[in-house]
Amino acid sequence: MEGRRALASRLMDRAASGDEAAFGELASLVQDELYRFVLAHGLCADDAADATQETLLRACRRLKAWRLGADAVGWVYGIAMNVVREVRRRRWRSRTAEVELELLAGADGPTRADGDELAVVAAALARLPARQREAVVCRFLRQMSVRETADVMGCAEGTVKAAVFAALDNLRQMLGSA
Amino acid sequence: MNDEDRDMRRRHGELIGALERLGGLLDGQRYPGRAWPVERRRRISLPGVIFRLTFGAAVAAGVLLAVAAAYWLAFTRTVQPTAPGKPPVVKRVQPPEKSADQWPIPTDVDVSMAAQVRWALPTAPLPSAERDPNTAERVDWSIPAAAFPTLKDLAEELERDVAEYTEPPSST
Repeated sequence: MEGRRALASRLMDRAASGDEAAFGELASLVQDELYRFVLAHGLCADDAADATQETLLRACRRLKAWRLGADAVGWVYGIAMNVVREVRRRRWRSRTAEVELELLAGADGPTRADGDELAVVAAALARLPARQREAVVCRFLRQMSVRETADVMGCAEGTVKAAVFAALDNLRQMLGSA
Repeated sequence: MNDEDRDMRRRHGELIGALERLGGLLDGQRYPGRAWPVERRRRISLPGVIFRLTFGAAVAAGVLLAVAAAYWLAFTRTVQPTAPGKPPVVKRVQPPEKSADQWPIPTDVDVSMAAQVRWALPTAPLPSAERDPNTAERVDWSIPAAAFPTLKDLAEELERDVAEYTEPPSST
């Protein structure tokens, strides 16, 4: 993982210096991770594909804002987080995006019972407030550290910890009452 | 993993495990594989169009206002310099004031024309004897009474006209 991050940062440095092919390599390197990241935030497959592409386009347009030597993956995830928020704002009327994880859990679970349990967890996750859901998805579904989550969400580490604790409490209550 | 993480996992162990398994389901997902770079057609939305039109109109109005203000500042005011430290005195430009007897009066007119000029300037009577501003010569502007026909003259003239038109043609 660290090797991929370092490679991504080097590619981003080259792209910012005018190497057009480097950004294509970077896109190939991170696009699957990005796609899973936006899926984890509850977007349906079509929206997730669009959001992934939009993220890469924005990153390409903002190459001039890139600071040499910075963490490229974290930077791109930060852009992706903003794109996800925009998509969710556009789709707030329809709940279709919210059930994608639930369907995934029900269909691909290792066992029927486990799949059912995960579907319940996914449904509860979708009912969390946006900030708490983002924190939990980054921390546990995408296995990011508190620091990385704070960078992606654009807030302090303490905020992330508080949001995660609150989210877990909420989830336990929801699953306990379910 | 620090103490905080361990404590959290102890308290919420099962739940975190379920969340991690849920995230694990995504590991097999792959980006549908659109080629990079992708040219996308821009979506045209009604709010976007309205915003652009409004913004454009506001900018155009601003430019017009700026031009009008610049014109007003440049051509309709004069700024009089004052002592250092005091704000300049700004005055509107006024047309030059002229009194009635400053208007140029033509000199090569007959008396009846002069009378018309006098009627055209009712606020101030013509001076009876004054220097002509154009020729600097003393001019007598007084109107001779003989220039106007009297009522008696008019009546006689009328009688002559009536007699001329009513007299029967002479038989030759």
